[in-house]
Amino acid sequence: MNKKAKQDILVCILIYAFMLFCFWQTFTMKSGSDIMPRLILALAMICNTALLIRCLNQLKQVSAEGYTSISEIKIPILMFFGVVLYALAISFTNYFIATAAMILIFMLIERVKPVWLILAIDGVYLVFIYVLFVMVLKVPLLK
Amino acid sequence: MIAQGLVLLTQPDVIIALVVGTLGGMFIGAMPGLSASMAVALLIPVTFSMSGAAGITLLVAVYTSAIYGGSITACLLHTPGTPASAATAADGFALTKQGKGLKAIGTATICSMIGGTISAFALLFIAPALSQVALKFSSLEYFLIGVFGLTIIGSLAGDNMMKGLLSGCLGLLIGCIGLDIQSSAPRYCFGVLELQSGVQLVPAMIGLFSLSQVMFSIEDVAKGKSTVLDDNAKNLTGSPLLSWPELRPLLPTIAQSSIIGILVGILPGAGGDIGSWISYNTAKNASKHPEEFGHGSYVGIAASETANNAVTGGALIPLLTLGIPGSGVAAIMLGGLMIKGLNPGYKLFTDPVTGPVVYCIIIAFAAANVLMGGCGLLVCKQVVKISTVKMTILAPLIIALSTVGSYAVRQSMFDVYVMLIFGVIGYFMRKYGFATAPVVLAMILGPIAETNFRQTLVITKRTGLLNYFLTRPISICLAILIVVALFSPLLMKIINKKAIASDPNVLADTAHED
Amino acid sequence: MKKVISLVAALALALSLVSCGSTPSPSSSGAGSTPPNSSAPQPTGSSYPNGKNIVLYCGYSAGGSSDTLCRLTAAKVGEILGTTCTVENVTGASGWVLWNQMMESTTPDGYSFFLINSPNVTTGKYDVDNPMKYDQNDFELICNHVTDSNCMAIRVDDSRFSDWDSFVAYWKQEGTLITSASGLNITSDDATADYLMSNDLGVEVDIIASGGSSDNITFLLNETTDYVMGNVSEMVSAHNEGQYKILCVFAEERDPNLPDVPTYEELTGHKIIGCSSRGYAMLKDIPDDIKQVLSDAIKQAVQDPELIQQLMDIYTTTDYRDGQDYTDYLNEITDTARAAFGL
Repeated sequence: MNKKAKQDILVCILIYAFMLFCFWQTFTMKSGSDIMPRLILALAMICNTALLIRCLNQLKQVSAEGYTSISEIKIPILMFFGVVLYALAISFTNYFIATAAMILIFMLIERVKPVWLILAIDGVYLVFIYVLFVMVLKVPLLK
Repeated sequence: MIAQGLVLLTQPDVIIALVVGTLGGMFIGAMPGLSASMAVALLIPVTFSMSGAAGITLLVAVYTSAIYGGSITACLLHTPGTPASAATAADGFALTKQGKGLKAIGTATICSMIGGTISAFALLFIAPALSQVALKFSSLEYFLIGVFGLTIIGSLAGDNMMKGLLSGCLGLLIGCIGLDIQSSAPRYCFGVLELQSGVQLVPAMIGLFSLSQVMFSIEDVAKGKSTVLDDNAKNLTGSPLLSWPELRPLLPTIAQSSIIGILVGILPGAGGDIGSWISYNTAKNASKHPEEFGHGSYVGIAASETANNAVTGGALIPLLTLGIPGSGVAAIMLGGLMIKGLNPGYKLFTDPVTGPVVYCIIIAFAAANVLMGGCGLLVCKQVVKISTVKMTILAPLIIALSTVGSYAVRQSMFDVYVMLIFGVIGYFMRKYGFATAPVVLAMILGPIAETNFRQTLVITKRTGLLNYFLTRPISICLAILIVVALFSPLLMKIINKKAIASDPNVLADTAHED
Repeated sequence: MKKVISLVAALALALSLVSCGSTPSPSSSGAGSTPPNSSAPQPTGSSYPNGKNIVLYCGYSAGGSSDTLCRLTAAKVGEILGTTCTVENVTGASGWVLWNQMMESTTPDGYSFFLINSPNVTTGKYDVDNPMKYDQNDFELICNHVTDSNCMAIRVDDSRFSDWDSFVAYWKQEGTLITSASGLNITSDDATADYLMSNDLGVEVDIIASGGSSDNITFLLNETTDYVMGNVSEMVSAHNEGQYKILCVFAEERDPNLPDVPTYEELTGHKIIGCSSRGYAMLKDIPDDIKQVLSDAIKQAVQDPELIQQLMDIYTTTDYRDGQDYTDYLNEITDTARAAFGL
């Protein structure tokens, strides 16, 4: 069986589920403001169905090019969770502390050498942000 | 008046404002995560302590050079520095990967400079006449412009039309989030107060483009490819300037894009992002090689960059003559103008006190564009080296910049979370073959189309929609344009098929191959 | 060579940015190097504000008229208290993101106060589609700063009418006219005034939902709407330039910026007051002695002659009210709006 086509079909099904949820939500809207979302969902339904038909046709093909495996996305997703932690760190401490830590940790993990380069880049960046945002633009980054 | 304006321009504080604004704007625009509107909004209080001429010069210089600066990172890192450069990202980045980054940035620089300078001349000489054009456009015209813009999605879809349209639908749905303009009833807000103003475009765009690109790059790093360049692209030397044979085909596009940009700028509320997409689409429709667009076409870059800078001058026209801002960034400047006693209107240009100030600002705006072009070309060669810097170093910096850029506009951590969500959505979308540019386009144009359509319904309560439509020539032209845009690809296919079928040489060849 | 140029350019940029940042910032403009002003009564035993920064929160974005007002006021307050007073913008949901944040996640320590404005804060609770949790009675009101009266204008070259009498005659003849407003319900001061006026004249009005006063003026100028309803501070300069003609003002007395424009009461004998006002409030649970110092400083700032003049220069009229007067004023605005919409 064609792995890519199977994956595409799964994506289509997920899209259907999402659209149904959005459609259900339109019933909480005032009449008049629900027209546009419903129009959009109708259009999306048509496109998704056309896509599904295309995928079903491709099931018979042999090649599985473009298939996305779990191992491929593991690292970017891990990095993403790291970024989420970084954002949370900002709300608990402040931008400068969190960013100093994030840049340091990130570059260490990626094995950037030498270490003094990491600290130098970190330092220059933080000074730049401080001058531009806190001093000139007066954005409250320090609480 | 113009002479007096020139005299004012020679004052030291104005010159400093001009230089700082141009250089600073380029820099800020280039940073992924920092946008033109953010820069201008945050600089308004800084202008309080400056003179009228210097303060507003600073703002307009930052405006135009930030719009240009966005193209630098759009080309080099596929992370547009401002929403107006999103149309440049695809072609610019493709060229960078092929090692032609220098020429890509060079093209963007020259085109931005030309577009901005032409719009500065329009502002200087024909502003009052052009402002009357702005008034001819009302809700029905805006609705049709919105629809016309949305037809671009079809051509942005890349290889899979259905997936592209679905991306567009997602963008349209996201555009619905917020308070409905007519009833203030919340749509898709789920009780979250911050969503009532809608999903902010800048954090969403930063997530969709910058953060998802970082995730892709990290994936590449894990596979062993540590920089942006493809393996066979080593040549970063040479000149950023295109040779004359390469430049000549771009000239019609540049001229046409300047006009489109100025017109879009004049329209209240339509800014650089809309201008660049419409220009890109028009160039693509008119091109003999539309398949090149999105894969490294200089014409595409020229169309997008000329237009988005031409918008800056255009947006200042209704701002200064009518007090009606021509773009989102111009709207922010309105407050800055009033505080300085520069009240928009015809008198602004003729009054002995404010007249010289206004002309000084306009001339400074033109100078900023030229300066920006010159500086851009000078630093091109150094800047393009960014594409050789390892992603392991660039990635955390882009993340940090994206975060502060998303935060700075409304000083809200909520926008940072929006950026994160769109980052992961963008990553998976691109993984599964869904283009992300249509999402951004639809987020901008969807609300415009819907709001203006519903306004039109109220306006035409008495006269009826069809009667109203038939009395407005601009609407009729736009409607024709939409039909042409929708059906021209189909028409081209049919015409091509017929040409092949009726060409005896082709038939002979195919017969021969059997 | 080119590398040197680019390095020098970068250095020049950095230096000029730094010099930009260290030019007298708005919070000390005018203060120069004056020593802490001791005219505010210092309560015994307390060292408030102790040099700590005080924040004035503004629920609208930087560069707008509310933000401008806040920045000018914060400068004065800082001067009076001998400390720095900065403005922070927390935007969204027409100010409600800020007010909800104030009520739900801010410590009442006296180092922050915020802008409140009608009709947003006074009518949020009664918005049928999107009711808010709080209103002005949940805050500790300090004082009102500016009141911007509603006024209406017509095109200068309109062939159908050229003054109030012909305008009203035309309206009664047609039965209904078209205008626009940002917001069609109780939370919009423009829409409220539209309904008050049309109800009083016995006619109908169709309102197009727009995105703000710029859009409203565009609609008027491109002949989509018949008249425009707006606020004096936004419309005075264009009126003086002859872009459009303001016919009447919805206030008790003629607006000082528009001495030749009559009030609605003068024209019809009925009184309609429409306005949007901006003032300041803080949280109720702040310790009393700190409350006293802060609110006295703010009241003093609002009544400062220099600030009043600065605001007059941008057509903004100071309308100082405090104490029970302010509370009654806001409650009256709420009641009028509710009556206009039948809530």
